[in-house]
Amino acid sequence: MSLQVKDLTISYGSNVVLKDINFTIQDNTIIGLVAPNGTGKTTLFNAIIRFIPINKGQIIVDGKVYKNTTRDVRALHKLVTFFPDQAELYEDFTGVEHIQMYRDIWNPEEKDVQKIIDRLNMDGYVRDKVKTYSLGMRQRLCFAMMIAANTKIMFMDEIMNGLDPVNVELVSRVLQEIKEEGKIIIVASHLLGNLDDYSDEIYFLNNKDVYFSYDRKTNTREFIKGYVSKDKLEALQPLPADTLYLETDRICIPLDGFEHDYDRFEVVELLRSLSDEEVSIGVLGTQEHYLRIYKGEQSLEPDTSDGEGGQTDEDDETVTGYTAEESGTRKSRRREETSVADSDTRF
Amino acid sequence: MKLAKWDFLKIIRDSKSRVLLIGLFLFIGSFSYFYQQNEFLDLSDEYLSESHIYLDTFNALTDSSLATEQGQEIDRRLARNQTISGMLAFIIGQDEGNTVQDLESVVGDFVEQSMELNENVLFFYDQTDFPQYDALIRLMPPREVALEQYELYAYMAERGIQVDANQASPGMALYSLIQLLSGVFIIIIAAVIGADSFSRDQESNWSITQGLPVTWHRQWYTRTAIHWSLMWIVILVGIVTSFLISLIGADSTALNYPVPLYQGENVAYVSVLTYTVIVTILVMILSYLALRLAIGMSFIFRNIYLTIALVLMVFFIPYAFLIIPPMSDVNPLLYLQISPALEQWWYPLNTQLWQMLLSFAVLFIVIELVFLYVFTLIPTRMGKLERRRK
Repeated sequence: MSLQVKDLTISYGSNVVLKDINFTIQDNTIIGLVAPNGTGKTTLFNAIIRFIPINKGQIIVDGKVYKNTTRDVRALHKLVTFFPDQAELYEDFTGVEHIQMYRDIWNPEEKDVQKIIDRLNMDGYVRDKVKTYSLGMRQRLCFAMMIAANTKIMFMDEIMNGLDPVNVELVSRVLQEIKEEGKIIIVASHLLGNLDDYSDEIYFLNNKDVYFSYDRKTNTREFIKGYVSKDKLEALQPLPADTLYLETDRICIPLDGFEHDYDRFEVVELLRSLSDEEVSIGVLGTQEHYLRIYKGEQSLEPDTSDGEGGQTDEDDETVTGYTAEESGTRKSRRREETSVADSDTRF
Repeated sequence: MKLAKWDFLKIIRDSKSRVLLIGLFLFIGSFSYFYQQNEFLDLSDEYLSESHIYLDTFNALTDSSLATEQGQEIDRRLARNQTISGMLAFIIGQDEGNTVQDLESVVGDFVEQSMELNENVLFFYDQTDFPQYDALIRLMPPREVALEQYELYAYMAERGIQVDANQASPGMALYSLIQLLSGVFIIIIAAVIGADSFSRDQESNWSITQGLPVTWHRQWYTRTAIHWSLMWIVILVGIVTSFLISLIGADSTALNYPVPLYQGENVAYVSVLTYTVIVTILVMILSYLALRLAIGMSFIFRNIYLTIALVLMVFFIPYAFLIIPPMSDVNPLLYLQISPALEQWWYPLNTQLWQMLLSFAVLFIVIELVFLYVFTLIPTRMGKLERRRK
């Protein structure tokens, strides 16, 4: 099975939100979809599943074009489910009933929903009315409903919202398990480090298109990743080509930029001495790409003046549109969010 | 079918639906009790006052007019009607049936005399060559009424039905309830029940109800069937409850008592039970159409008051047509109000049952065609319907 989106264009009046989007996703794949708020992630989902009119383009599943006819839309809806909004659950229904409802509608052959309940550790609350649930419980229920529907293609929008770390890990693991059943899963999430745990490929929406994507299997170039403030950059000079200096003072130095291991070791030690933050070696993760794409790279020239003075990507202004204040808020939060990928070597 | 189960649960757990259905049951179930609390006219007095019509008419006629052979016959019949009116007043006042025990030979039979009375009135209308014709018929009940009354009593005579002076009998209470149901009442109930069927989902459960592999059209059918079934289970149980309550203390059900059913230019008398069955079936069909319309409109409008108002407007269109008389005999919407149609309010429509059923079929097709288009539109989260672009 494959999902192909061809020349997809969406506009609201004269405002073009997505333009000429093209991609193909094979089965057994989890795609992480990343973009700041308001860049069109949900619109992309809504367009593919035909929840909104599309101006141009084709939705092709397994080579079959699903047109805008009632019959085709219904056939498409048999193949695709969309992650429910936890605020829109039926308050007077129990969790089990919600799961059974999705099972009955999409996957009536499946008799046993208890397996799903056990798999997601929901047995303690799932027979209570939804109105008694916390945000995290609701979110897990929505995920369970998707599992019960068991469609070939699943769109998971903001799936990790409200989940505690244990449940984030649980859901991530189940995502990987169901992927192996031949699914195509697209996950939109702001937990960028978490996306690296289970996604096969990451799509970054920008400029109304899939601006950049990378396959995590082929993304093997390793970097030394650490933090260094602008005023201490000079201590690291000279830096090899392709070194990235990103917002939040994150620096990513390609390992292959050094000829000898001791040079690399020296840089690691230097970075550790320049900052209290953790230094690691690994491939560039979604977090680094996100900063690079949406916040732009900063100049590697040491800055003797006060302030950040980072170079902004030409597209950055149009994509993110952050005010300075918002940017500052995000900056401090991102420092917390930036996780070291499991595959990274830490120092 | 699987979706129908969940739609049913959604409806039955909705507090608005529950309150409406319980309220509907209480209203219909208690109808006969409150109906029987009414103060009814004393039929005995009615008949007595009617006797003056014939005396006054006699006094209005000159001796010369009454001197002819024709005048003699008119005189005799006027006198007879005055006598009959008195007898009818006495019999009905005794409330023993068609006659009074031990006085049969004196007071006669109520039904037979009623037939004779109306036969005489019709006779007066036929005397067009009588010199004082206008004075003769001035105080008489209308010819159509006399004819209907004659047929009513002929029907009773043929079936041996006893006259029932109890206007609050279980049969009459049932008849009144069915007449109430056949009016705008049922349209209001249908409109209120169906007005938020889709809009509630669009407002509160959008992401769960979008993208189902079942067409909106199919969901429309399912929801209409569920709402309609629930509504009619409640109404039918309510009717039975009301009838059972009315039986308390009653000496007969009077379900065989005749009531008029207009068929074209003719009036046919049928039993209360037959009338109940015929009108209930018509109301069931009509309420299905009204529910269908209301539920369909709830897909378009999120404002339930607007939906209710629009559904009611459709069913009040007949009144608008009344002010354009030439339109009133061609407008199929006139059949949307069953009771007025059956009682010939829409003269000269001359309602036939098959015409009503045909009108319902036409309305069904019109609604179907309109919503075939509507359900190709996409309900967006913002509450708009957007056209799918090709």
